[in-house]
Amino acid sequence: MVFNSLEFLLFFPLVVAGYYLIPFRFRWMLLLAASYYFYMCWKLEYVFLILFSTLVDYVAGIMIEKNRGRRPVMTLWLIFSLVLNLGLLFTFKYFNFFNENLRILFNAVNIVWHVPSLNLLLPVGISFYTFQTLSYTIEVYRGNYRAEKHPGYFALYVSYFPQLVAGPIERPGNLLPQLRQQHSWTYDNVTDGLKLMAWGFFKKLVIADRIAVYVDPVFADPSGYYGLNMLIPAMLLHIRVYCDFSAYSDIAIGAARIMGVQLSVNFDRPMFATSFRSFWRKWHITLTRFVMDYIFKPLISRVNHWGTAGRFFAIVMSFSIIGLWHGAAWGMVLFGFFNGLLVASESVKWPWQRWMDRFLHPRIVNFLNGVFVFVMICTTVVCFGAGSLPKLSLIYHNIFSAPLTPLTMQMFNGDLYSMMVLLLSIALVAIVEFAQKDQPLISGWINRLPWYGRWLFYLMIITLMFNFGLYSNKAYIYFQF
Amino acid sequence: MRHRELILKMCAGLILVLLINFGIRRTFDPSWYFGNETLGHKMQLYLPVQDSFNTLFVGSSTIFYNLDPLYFDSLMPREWNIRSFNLGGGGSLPPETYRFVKELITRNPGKVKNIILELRDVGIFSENHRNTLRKRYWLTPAWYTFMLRAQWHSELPADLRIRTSLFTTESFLERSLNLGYFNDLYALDPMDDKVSGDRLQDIVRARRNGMLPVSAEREHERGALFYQDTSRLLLIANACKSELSLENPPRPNPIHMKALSGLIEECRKHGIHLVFLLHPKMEKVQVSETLALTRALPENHLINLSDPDSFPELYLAENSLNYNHFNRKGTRVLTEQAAKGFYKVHTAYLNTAVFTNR
Repeated sequence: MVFNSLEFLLFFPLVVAGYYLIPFRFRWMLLLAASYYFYMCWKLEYVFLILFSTLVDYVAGIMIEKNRGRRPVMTLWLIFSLVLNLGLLFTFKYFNFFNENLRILFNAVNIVWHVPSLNLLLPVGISFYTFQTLSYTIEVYRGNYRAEKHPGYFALYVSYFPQLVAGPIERPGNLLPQLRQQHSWTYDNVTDGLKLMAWGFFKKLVIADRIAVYVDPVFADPSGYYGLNMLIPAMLLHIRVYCDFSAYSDIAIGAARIMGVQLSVNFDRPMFATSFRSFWRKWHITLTRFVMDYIFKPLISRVNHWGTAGRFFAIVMSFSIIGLWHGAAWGMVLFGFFNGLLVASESVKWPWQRWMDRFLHPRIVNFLNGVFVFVMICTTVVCFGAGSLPKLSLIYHNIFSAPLTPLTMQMFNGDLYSMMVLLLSIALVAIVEFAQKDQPLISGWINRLPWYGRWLFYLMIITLMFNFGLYSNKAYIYFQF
Repeated sequence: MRHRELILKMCAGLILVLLINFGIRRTFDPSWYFGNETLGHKMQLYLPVQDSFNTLFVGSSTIFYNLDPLYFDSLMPREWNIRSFNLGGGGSLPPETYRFVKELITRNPGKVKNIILELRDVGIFSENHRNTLRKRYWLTPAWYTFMLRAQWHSELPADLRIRTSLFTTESFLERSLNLGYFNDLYALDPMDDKVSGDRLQDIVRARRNGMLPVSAEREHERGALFYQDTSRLLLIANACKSELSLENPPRPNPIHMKALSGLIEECRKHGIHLVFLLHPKMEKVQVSETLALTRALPENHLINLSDPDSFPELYLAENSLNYNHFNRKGTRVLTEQAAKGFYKVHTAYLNTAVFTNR
């Protein structure tokens, strides 16, 4: 079930109504049943994977708690959880990728590789809930969180439907206590939630899905697109991924907020980042934090004695894992790798940066840095859209081999209407996000507007969403991860 | 206290949005038949020459492909001077066709004297048509209410009626909220792909009377598939036979019946003879509901071809393209039977009209 479907429009109000009408002690049952139903709408069998993950981490959490102080036993249980969860993820998501690459490698040295590929469909959101359950076990292991004894609440933590298939990836310290808490219907929670959902739907239906109509064919066959004519689709792809994914996060956060739960912020206006580091602090925040806390920090503590090289290695390695998390393809790994290089490169102050700092106004420097970061991220997002290495090299070749090719906007095929709608709606998002300033969520910004400003904004967003949205129930791009 | 405030604000917001949407629809108002591409093309052909035609065929693909105006006209008495135009279109079903007839005779009456309108039940909503413009462009609150009431009084299986009610509600919401309205206007939305295409204008223009005959290639391609198993044709015929032999047949759907009577009356006011044509090949599930309507319709407003005993040739596999459509040979047979039926009912109608005028 996708958020932008009639089914969800029926499902969600029913769940919310039931949630507030039934006694508190039954609420977890309702939410758990709703969450499993939500997930089973994709493929019934895959609910068993969630159940398996839940069982493994529930047992592991309790055993780690029971053996607190006996480090080898605790470590064994942590390894048990890591192996089973990552094993599941590996089997469904990465097995064929590694198998295929090993086959190529062995064939190159004339060794026959016999292992057949698996014919498995990637379960929706497996990377998200696997990381969420892992985060629980690790936090319990580290002693930051006590093991959850109630299997129902724990199962709900793993499968909580608003963020089940595309995040935000929650930590037990944030989500579990809130699930246990008795929330009552409050005006502020409900209105804030609705504002977030409306904004999310606007970004998804008007911008992300519309860009997809034009950008997907370009990335499916990039031959014939040169210079700016390839760079513009790359930029649009970046905007599409942002609007699609941040839309999902907004809707998820909004839906949870209506039920009194505050999920973590996942995007904090990344398009206004003026450095690569700040970009990754604003983009998919919960994943970046996960990787920083559980991969980067342990890694850097081991390679710190290498000095700058160790730091560089840890950053690039962590970002490559972020890339691999996005998908089992070399394009994804390169996406992470390039971003790692960009982030690591910021340890050095380049000569032109010193020159800009000396001769230009700080605001101009910030603006130029922002443009640079945006363009560079767009060129890495190309890896994301290309997937395979041959296609990726063709795209880069097309961008850089003929940079002065006149801009024809050929992908729009003369569709002035869509170009105008996109231009205006992207401008609207940019203006609103610029105006948000220190508010990562739009609800905070809206609440500061005078009443007529709020109403004008609601009417504008809703009217634009209804009249210009694409209603083809397109799934969210991050579901594939 | 704040719950009430929230509900009031949401209602006020909804009303404002609906008003804005209404304003947008009025400002960017396309032609009244915009939403059904086939009808759009056909109307472009028809309107400039409408005064040359006095008889219209309206209905789905079974009318579009299988009722030949040229042959039909040739079978009519010369003194009637019948000149017919085929306004049938793939998937054009009631009540869209009822609304089409109503709008046509009030907005562009031309010199129309007769309309032959395909009779169908209103209880089936194909999954293919879900979320398509053609299922919502005509769905005003009045037609929506009609659809829901018709489902309530229908004899069709409950699951079909619930499904149709839900899908119709979805279409009604899509229309009321203007979902993707500008995309429809600028033809961006890929949702309607399944029912568009065909480059009808080019194809139909050649015949100049709205008819798109089944091509030899299509007959060969579709027929080959159909001839592998023609048993369903027998099932359809048997369903009709057993329904016709019932001693206590079901009563017609009163809501649907009222709409049909209203349509007959409205046409009569405009001096038009409206004749309902019951196509011989219905899905088994539709038989009871549709035949019940024929029992209540006035005789001189009905051509009932759905009787395997009276029209056995219409149920022969050799005349069929598939279960619902006829091949070129079958088209001639159907047109011939429709013409005979029309001759009979129109003669009666003219006599009644003369009698009434006296």
